[in-house]
Amino acid sequence: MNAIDYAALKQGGIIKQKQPDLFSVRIRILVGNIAADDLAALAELAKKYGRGTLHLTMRQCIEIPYVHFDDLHAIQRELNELGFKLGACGPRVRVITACQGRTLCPHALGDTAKLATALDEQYYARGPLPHKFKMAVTGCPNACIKPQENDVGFVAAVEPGLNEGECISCGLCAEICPAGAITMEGDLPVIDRAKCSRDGKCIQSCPTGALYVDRQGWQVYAGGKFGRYPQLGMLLTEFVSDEDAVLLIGRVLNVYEELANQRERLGDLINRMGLESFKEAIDGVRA
Amino acid sequence: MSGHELDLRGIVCPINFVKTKLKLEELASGEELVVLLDPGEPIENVPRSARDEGHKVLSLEREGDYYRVVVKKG
Repeated sequence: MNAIDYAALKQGGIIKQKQPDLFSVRIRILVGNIAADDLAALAELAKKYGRGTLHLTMRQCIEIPYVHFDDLHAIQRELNELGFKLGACGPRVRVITACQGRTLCPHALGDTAKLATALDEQYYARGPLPHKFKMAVTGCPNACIKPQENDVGFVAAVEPGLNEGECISCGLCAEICPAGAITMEGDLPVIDRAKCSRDGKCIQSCPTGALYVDRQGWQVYAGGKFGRYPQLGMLLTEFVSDEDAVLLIGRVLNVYEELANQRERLGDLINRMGLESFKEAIDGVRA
Repeated sequence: MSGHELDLRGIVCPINFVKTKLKLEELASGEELVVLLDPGEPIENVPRSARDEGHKVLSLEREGDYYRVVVKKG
């Protein structure tokens, strides 16, 4: 047996434990959704190769700890046969996280699984990059998946328009707007676009449908991270479509690869060059 | 009393909407139902849900600490 190449193993989601010859095997789960039968299959693998336990990660994935080095090929083969991918580690595009989104959340404004899947298909595990690169997709400004803590985060957003003929001047929108962005002037609501938090609550509660979705898409935050020096992502652009979101990430990654120093997170690059210069660099590069 | 009225103050979601829906099923198309609703989730959800089911909200007014909503059966 050759010497263990830990770096090569880590690329593919196999993480060295403190105990000699034992590894934790990280399995990619997208959007935190897993079929019950697949979960049962992972449970069997944990009993067969590990110590019968599974670990839930911060990025909605599952790890099987305590797998011996001699079993790594066998467990990888079985995971592959079941259709699982290993969870990316190191300086590459990590598993894309997402909230449940519009499929079942009453607050959600966007199809988070659809965008997360499109990003996954295009960019998952791309690397090596200057450092790790995390993305998250959330369905409304409540931001349950914490997109602003990621290198790039997407927040579904809508902006209301008013069909004056349908308005019965009830003023409910002005009363319930969490941002206080709507005032009744005469018989009609007036929307302060600068205050609007894009959560669509006014549209959702309008009893006559006078308020409708005028613009919708993804708000894009860039440069967020956690770790020892945490910072929240900065608003890069607004009302981006699914297709443009995927293209935008291609441009962000190209700029990141070209301009960032080794082990420099995207947020540190943006801090160093300034948000406006970063935006110019994004605009000037092809996806 | 000339019309139909449903006092749903103190009734939480989604029971308030279920009661509204059942009451509207008893009415003929075009008849009006007055519904009294609490602020918060009830007033944000029930009128909109009635509209989603094909009824028309004619008016919605605040009366002190509750709302008076007139729904016309679709």
